[in-house]
Amino acid sequence: MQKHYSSLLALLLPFSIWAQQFTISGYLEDGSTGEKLIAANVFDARSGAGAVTNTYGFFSLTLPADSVELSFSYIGYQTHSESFLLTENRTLNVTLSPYVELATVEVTAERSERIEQQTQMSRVEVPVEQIKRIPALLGEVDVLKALQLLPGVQSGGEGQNGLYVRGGSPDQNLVLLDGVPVYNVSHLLGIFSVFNADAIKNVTLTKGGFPARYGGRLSSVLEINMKEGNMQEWHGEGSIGLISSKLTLQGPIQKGKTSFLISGRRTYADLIFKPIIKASTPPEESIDVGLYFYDLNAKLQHKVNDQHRIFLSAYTGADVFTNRYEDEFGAFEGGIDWGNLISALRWNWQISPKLFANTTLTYSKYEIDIGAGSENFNEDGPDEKFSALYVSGIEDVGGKIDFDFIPNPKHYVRFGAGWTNHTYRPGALNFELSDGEDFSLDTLLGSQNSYSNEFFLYAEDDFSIGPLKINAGIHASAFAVEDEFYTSLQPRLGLRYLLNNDIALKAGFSTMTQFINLLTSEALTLPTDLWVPSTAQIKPQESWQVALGAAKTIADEYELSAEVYYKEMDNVISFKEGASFLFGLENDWQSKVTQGDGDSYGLELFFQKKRGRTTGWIGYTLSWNNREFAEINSGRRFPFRYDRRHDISIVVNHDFSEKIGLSAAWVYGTGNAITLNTITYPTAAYPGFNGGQPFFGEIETGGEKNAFRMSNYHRLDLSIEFRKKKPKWERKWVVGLYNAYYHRNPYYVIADSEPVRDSQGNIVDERRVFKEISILPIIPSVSYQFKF
Amino acid sequence: MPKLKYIFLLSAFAILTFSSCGDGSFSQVVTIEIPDHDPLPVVLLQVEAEQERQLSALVSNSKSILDPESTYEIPEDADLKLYRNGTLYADFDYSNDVLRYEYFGTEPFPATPGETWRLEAAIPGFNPVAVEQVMPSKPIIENATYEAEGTIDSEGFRVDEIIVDVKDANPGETNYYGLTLWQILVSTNAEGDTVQVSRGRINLDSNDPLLSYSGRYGLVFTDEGFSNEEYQLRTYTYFSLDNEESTLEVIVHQLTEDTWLYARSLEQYNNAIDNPFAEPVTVHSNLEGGFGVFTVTNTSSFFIE
Repeated sequence: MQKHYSSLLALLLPFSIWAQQFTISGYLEDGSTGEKLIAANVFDARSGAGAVTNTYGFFSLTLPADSVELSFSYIGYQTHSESFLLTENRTLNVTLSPYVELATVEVTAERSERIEQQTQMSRVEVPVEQIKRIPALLGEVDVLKALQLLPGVQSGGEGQNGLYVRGGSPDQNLVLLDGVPVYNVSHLLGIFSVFNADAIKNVTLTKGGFPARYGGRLSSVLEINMKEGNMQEWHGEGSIGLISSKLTLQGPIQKGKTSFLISGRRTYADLIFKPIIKASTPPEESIDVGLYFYDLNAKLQHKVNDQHRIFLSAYTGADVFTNRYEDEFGAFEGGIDWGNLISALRWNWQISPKLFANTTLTYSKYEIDIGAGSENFNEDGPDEKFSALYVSGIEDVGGKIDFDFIPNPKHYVRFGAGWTNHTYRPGALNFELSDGEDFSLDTLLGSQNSYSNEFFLYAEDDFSIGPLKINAGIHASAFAVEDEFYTSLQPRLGLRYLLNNDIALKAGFSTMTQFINLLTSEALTLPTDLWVPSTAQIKPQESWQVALGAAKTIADEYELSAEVYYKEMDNVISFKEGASFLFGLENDWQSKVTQGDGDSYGLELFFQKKRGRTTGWIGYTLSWNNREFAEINSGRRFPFRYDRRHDISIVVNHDFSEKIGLSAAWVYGTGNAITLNTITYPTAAYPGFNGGQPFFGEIETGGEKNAFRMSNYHRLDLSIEFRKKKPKWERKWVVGLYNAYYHRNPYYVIADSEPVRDSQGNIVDERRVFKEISILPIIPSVSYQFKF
Repeated sequence: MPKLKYIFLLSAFAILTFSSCGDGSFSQVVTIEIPDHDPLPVVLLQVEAEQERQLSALVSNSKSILDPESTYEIPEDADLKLYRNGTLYADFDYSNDVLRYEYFGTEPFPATPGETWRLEAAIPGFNPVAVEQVMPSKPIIENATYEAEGTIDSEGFRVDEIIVDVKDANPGETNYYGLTLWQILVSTNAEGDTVQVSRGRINLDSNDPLLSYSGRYGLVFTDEGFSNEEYQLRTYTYFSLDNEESTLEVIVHQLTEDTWLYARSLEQYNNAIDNPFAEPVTVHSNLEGGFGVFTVTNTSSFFIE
């Protein structure tokens, strides 16, 4: 027992040392833009103690009263040093200047905290500059598609940007834009993501070993932070591509005090086709078609003083498809649009040199509207009108507060709490009918919203005991819906043990609970997919995951990591067999879904070259992914559609010079598991008429669910950049080639029939065949990008 | 020299652009090879205790969808036997009139719970197959009532209500049930003598999410939600049953797990036919090395006069 007390004392001792110590705290910023530097290093050469800046660029380092020799470093930036005698608490807001001469060749090496120094495993940060270098479909830089190139992350199918992380489904990813959940991450049925890379500052994906501050989803946390706006001077960047153009402007409103950023993107296929459609339409008719998507990001930053900063960020984006036909007799119009509105008000408060608080108020909404209407023109009287509008979506209002407490260099404590009110609108249909005279109808069907409240509390400490670094914490959450009140305690543990040769051995254990679900088909993600809460009948999804791994940085240039993981998921949701996933969900969705279990396990290897003229990575995943539902496949276990045995990605960027750079990305993945009915058997037999051939009632089957594999997927994308740089302006031509060697990657499989011919070529019968349909052949692209 | 480089790149770009814009470039279709399917035996026999003397089984084979040459065969020389606790109970004979194997018993099919029933089939050209089922216990119906226009349907219309109180016969384990309703009409002549008795099945619906429709066993459900307890099944029908001449017979079927899985998946399969937005359905089969099912069910009846 005495031994236990000693251990406890050893853990608590660092909190209770009251020898003469002082704290140096402040922010690290990019000197040219004022952007906060995340995960930059602060190091005291005399004591050997160090700190890392948090997500908001804040650091705190407590040292004994003595001379200090501080260095502030961030790769790609010049190191800043300061020496002084520490006799009191000090605030240091440090700006680092970027290495101008390295800007083109080391853009990918932004981070300075080595992988073996981090307790956190299963976490990848992909620099935005790296994302922009990866060849993209139609030249549209896509954050989510870049993440699909990481081990443990899979795409759903050709051209899709859903993320399947370690066997989870896309709804199990918590996607946060400036801390606000994003419910729909796709444009154009999943082909493009809603994130405009020009407005983004950093992207971090956590696949497992979740620290206690994260919760609410089973499989991953994707944090995307928008740029904050340049505090010093005006800048802009933009691009003109084949399908869209974008423009980002940022600058100071009051230099060093207040800044703004605004960024927009819009596709223009409709603008191109409108005149063509108009020209080919008879004069007595008119056809108006709109098909586009847009994104708008905006952010305001205000530095009240050294202790207080306020940020207001917003995003809105939508896909719009409209169609109106009109002639002399009447008009018909229909359309569908869906999109997100996201906003966050954030307040950073440095309460003391050791205590930092971030308070966020959030509002977000995802809504889909499907409308149709008609008008009959009456020469002698008023027009008859009919319209129908279907509205569905989810709306969140929430708040959270996060504290960072850094008592000394050996401990980093985080704690906080949050609340979100969800409003679910599973589908409301509004009819309006009028004959223009005495009859009119305006009615609303199925408009009952449902509500839930989600709460969480967490506490975690990242601390060291010799070469062992531990992140231990607990996340407690609760969910109030209808008359149910669910609670969940989720312990989290991350360990890192540093061997003498700088190899870090890591382990992580986490449990997660998810209270809201997306009703979606395994095969297809649609904007009509519904977000619904856990209810008395539909229990919250839960998971636990354990991961073991090793990581090492080699010669400052290469990073190597290997991880094995095992994850179990309970109460995962799926449509029942035979349930229709497109219509009628709003009324009785609970009767159409079923809950079961899943497991996934595998090995992930990641080798990355981060510096030099040639950068990139090789990722490999070997994985298994299964599901088991009492009401699916007769209760037998079956492979999940995205059970992918092998998944390989190779990304290479090479700069021939400052003016020309080449990028290539090659991906390979085992084919998706699908159910294909290739067998029939009779369930009833009836004698033929007049002694003729009997006829049968029959069943088609594939034997087991998801027993068939689509063809393996592989694809090479290439792009070449031609850059020109002047002191105040730079431009880039990017020529890209998607699917460069034209591999027909399967998108879906259809059953078809083809004639059977005799030796003379006469059709004598017909036979069923299955065909794989691929949708994206070799696709070239070109875009022009500029910056000033 | 730099110009040459650009010309080369632009030429390559142009060639690739044109090469990707040919016919069908945006809809690539590839016929895929499907592994050959070797036909497997098919046996289908569903038995309801006390309800029937005559047993009728279908024996055939599976075939590949892709092979137009393959056919269903109904062999006349298959050997089909049903064993009760290891003792031969029924030896089936082929009937060309109905294309099935039949057995005519002298007594209704036994309903003794816990008995093991084993169906063995030796079909020429296939390996022998066998399936076992254990007769479930008799369901307990505590009460059943009928009330004309006693409830409303899911659309809000008034309908006749049938309430059935059941009790979990095997607490602590998952049991599977079906619920059917029958109307018995007795016709009499002027003298009051019975001249005709007819029995027809009445379709039932329910607003209770625990109950789902399946063809043969009516509304099916499990007792996971009321294990070791009583449960009130609230159902309704669109048929007008308010007839003084008729008697209602409520039948609760206690199903084996295989019966439940087959009944439910077959119903889902039938509902999903021709619906491109339906999730795929795998119809349950308990015939190892083949397709089809052998199932037994126990039943209890309750009459509402």
